[in-house]
Amino acid sequence: MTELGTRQLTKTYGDRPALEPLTLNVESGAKVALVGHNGSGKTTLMKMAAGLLDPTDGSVKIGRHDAGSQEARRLLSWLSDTPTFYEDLSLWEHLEFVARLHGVAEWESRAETLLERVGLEQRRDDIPTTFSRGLRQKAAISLAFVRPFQLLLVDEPFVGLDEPGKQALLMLFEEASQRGATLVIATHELSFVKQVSRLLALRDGGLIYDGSPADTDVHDLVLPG
Amino acid sequence: MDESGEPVSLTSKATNREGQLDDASDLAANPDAVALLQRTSLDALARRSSLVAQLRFAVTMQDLRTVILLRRQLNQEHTRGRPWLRVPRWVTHPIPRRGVASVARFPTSRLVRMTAFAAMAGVFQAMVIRGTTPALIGTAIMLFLLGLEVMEPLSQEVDQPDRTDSLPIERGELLVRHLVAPAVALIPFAVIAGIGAIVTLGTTRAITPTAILALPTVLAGAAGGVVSIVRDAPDPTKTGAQAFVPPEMAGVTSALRIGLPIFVSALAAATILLVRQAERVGTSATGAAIRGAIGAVLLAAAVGYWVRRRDQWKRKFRQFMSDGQSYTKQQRSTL
Repeated sequence: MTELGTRQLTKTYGDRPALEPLTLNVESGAKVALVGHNGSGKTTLMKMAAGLLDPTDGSVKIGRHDAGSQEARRLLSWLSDTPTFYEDLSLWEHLEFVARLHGVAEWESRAETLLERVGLEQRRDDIPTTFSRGLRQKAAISLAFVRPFQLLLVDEPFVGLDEPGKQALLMLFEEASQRGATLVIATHELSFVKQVSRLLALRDGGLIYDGSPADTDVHDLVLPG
Repeated sequence: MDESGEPVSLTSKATNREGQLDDASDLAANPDAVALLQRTSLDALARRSSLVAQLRFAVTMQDLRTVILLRRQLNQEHTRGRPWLRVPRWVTHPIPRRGVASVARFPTSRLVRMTAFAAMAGVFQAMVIRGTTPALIGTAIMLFLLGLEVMEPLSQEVDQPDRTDSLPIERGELLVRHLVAPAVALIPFAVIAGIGAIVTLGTTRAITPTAILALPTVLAGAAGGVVSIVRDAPDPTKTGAQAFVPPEMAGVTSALRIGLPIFVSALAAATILLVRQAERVGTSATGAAIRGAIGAVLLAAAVGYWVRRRDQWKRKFRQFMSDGQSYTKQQRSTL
């Protein structure tokens, strides 16, 4: 079954194409890395899939649902490289709000475990907008994983994370993958690419590689055109 | 400090005619001066000047929410780290719970400001009863500002559209449920407004009409703030196509943007005119207050309904316009 499907998906900013018509299917349970130079269209593609950006043309489906629909939002968890937080809630209150809106019954034990794993258990009552870059990323990770999902979209997850944070995140990815969730991870961390089953590479908004990471030199793929 | 415990000024060492330090060596020789300079953060000054520039721009753009946020930053007004109270367990729905958590973190300065707005609104309403009709504008502005202050959960949702658009609930429904906790939080401020009115009028005859009218008026008046916050929100129903508003229309749009919220607050405040009229003609002031309260409640409900349905209406309107354009194109191509 296709978890993420795009059909002639296109995005232009003014006259500048950010993503050329892209047709793509990501099967359920796949672990996919998305690479490309800065400005290659990775974040644009991810945001359109998350329903946060309207395509100029074409369509995106999450499962059988249009991206951005309520059903798609239930299936998809989005972890941004620039996470935003409410300025009036503590991290714990954020976790409660997100988890309960997604109908997680045992959210407290789940949240406690997540905070412990990312090393934020001492900061649970603090306002995350006051956190440093790395701590904000950890807080965003805990928010992305506190709710159920079938598809996880992640944009530059390792930026700002310390080594324990990276290890915790890799473990969470692994566990989600074992649970059968589909993972699409946009990254510049080329060492991570070895751990995925499928590699997608974008250059100047066009797809230049779609296949196994073992069959290519990933360093060539991330060079600008 | 010198040996006698007196503070040492930067210019307490050798100075020239203009009162300036003679040279850098004097400064270096004065450890107190160096310490003072170290405490003066250039970063903070640069940040402040940047905030002021942004504030000017926001005022020019008549973007009230940004003005409020920048003013709070300039005043170093932060959300309380420790809430005034824990969210009660009986508040079970996640959205009102989130609202209570937000209100429970209001800083003291904001609570003081809100108290002042509520008291002033009461005083202005009393002035209207005494015959100063233009005082209605004062009430409207006070209630509008009170609304902007208390609707923090709604404002936060509007400020973080990425987060809102990731939640599995329709935006209109989410926003309207964010009104519940602030509406409850307005109860004590309605009492303050009522006390302000009764004290200004100085008669016990005012107690019953005030008790009936205070809360509905404050709620409907604060709805003006809701209109302002929601109208300034990014529009998720907009497609990539840029809306080209002709310059002639831009002025009208700006006037509406500022004027409509105040108008809503003014309508709420105007319910007091029913009581004044009843006093003048000698009919029941209590009956007039009940009629006014019903009007105010209906106004608040109408604003809530608008918040709930706004996106759907806008989407339908855009679809209608788009269908019309397609039809026109089709007709032209067949000619």
